[in-house]
Amino acid sequence: MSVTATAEPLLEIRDLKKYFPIQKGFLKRTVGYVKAVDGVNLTVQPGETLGVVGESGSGKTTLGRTLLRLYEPTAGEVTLRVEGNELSVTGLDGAELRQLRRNAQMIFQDPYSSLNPRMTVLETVGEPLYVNGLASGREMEDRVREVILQVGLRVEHLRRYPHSFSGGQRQRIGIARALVVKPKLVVADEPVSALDVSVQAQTLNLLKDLQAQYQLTYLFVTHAMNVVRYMCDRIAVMYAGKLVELGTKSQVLTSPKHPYTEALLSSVPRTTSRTRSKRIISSGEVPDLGNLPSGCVFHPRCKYAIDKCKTEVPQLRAMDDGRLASCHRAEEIELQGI
Amino acid sequence: MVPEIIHTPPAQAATTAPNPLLIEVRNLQVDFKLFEGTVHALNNVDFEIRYGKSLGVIGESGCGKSVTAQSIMRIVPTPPANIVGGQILLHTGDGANNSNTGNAGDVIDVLQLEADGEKMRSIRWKEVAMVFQEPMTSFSPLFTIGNQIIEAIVLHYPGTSNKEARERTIDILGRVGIPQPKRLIDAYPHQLSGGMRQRAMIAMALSCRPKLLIADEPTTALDVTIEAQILELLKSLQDEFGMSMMYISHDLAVIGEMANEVIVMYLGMVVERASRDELFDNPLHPYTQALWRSIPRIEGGQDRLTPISGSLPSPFTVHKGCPFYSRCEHRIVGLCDTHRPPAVRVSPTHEVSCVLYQK
Repeated sequence: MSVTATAEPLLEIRDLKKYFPIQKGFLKRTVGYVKAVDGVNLTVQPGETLGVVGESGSGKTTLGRTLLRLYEPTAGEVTLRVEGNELSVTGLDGAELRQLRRNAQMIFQDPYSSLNPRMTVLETVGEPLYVNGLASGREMEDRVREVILQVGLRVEHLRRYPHSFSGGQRQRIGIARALVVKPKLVVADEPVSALDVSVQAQTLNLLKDLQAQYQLTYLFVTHAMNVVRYMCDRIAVMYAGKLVELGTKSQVLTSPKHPYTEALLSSVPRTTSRTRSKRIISSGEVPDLGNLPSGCVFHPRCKYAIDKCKTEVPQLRAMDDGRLASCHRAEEIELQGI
Repeated sequence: MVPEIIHTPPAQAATTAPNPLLIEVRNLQVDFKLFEGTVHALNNVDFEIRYGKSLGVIGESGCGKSVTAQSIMRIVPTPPANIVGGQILLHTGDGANNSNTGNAGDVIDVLQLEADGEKMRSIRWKEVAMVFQEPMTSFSPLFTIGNQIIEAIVLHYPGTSNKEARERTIDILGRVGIPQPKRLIDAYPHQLSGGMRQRAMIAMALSCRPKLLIADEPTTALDVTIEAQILELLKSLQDEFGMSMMYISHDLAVIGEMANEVIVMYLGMVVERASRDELFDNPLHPYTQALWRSIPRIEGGQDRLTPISGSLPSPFTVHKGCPFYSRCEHRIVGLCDTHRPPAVRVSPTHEVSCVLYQK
């Protein structure tokens, strides 16, 4: 899949911002902002899996949540195209917002805290149907039964409570809850990082199967580069609230154009000695989002930084091969991929 | 007085002779007696670590890798845990330093010591130290990191003045890569980031120059770029201090970076044990093979992952035969479910507990 796909995008994000106020003192005066998502532009094509990668604090989770209006965006626009209709996510409220929820759902990271311990599987998975007025009673139960089987659980599980399930099974319940309304877009926020390795494989395969079956579009938020390689078509790399690189999987993984992408890839431990090469370890840590460095946000950790990087903010721009990267020196430096 | 910092690895008489033994774990058995029943957390766990070498321990949650480490440190919560049998032999003394043939020092069975006794307390941190997964919970929030490291030094080296211990601490904080150690020695744990806290934890573990450092998933809670920094740090400190390491992780790739030798654990048993390269290039146990196939690789080339069939049996299950029997694709009915698989030595550095390799 190429970056300049011709099909109408399913999701379009324009200049999305989410700032969290930093409040101090008794009167909770706002003294500054944490720019968790700072001007992100993205389009997602129907049927593709877009991986959003970055470290904690990069804003990847906030991006996923803001575009579903789980957080109120500070600025920007999000448009979802469903069956020819344009749904302006940022302008919705009340009943209209429910229309969004029918088309865009989320799978959460922690299968322990994202399920209500007092609700049975039937209630948990059935609730979205009921709330959205899609089905109730017998009909609801039939639909829940159908989806529960598809995610690999059994009918006798319906009356049980979350505590009687393992982590992997709970994550299946979370997936069933997201899919029961037959959404077009699913934002999966680290769906396997809380699971054991052998259960991870089952869950990743399940997500792939369900995608094929329902023509789902995934926005896959993760920090695990090996999972991205397995799951995604395109990759968006975030650092300190900004998109630093966006391209196809092979572009980003084999020949990164942003030094942060290179550092991220180089940090990944390799399983075979043949691919274990000299690492490029970026020193320092993710900057304080309330007090970002000037110029390029990555410059204090970047070994390619020049004076220009300290003063001038690099813009995300198209490279020869169509991908986007925001580095002043993207054309001149030779970076190492996997 | 604080002794010389480096444990000189014993002079290597011949390149073929292995380094002397530092610790031997023999037939270790640990049970957890719970209200619901007894969990056999460790069954006949057997391995050894030599001077200056790293042993990687890999397995999924519940396989007993942390209990093994905690048994060596004698910090398993007892009850509910109960060390039923086995030996943990620690070769102490500097005898290893002046002998080419082996250990002239004492051999102590750690399991015979009282967990809170004076002898055990002198071993803990001084001979064997541990770095835990969650750096936030391993420091007391009420004291500065400097205070806590100084305390450990003064406890283990009576007669060290506070000033001396403080200088020692500043030195060690600097070595683990904490910027401005003179200032940050007075920081409270909450003032440090996760990566810095883990560095401070490593500094504390190294403050008494242990011969063995046990690292129990030290980077699991950290970001990848920070993880890479910590792994490089541990490797360089190991070289600098000449210590041995036991590195516990569920992440194959991290183990591949850190260990010379690897043991694979499943439900409280060591199912395979090999040098790193042999294990990664030629995994033999059906569990190891299945685990390898189920993990997405950064190098790509996988159309589809093959998950391990079935699910982890209940921890209360008693296995007469092989613990992997119910999920194994090569199982032999009537043999694998009734007989403990023997440990088969397929090469001098590769051992696997599976009947498939029995001659």
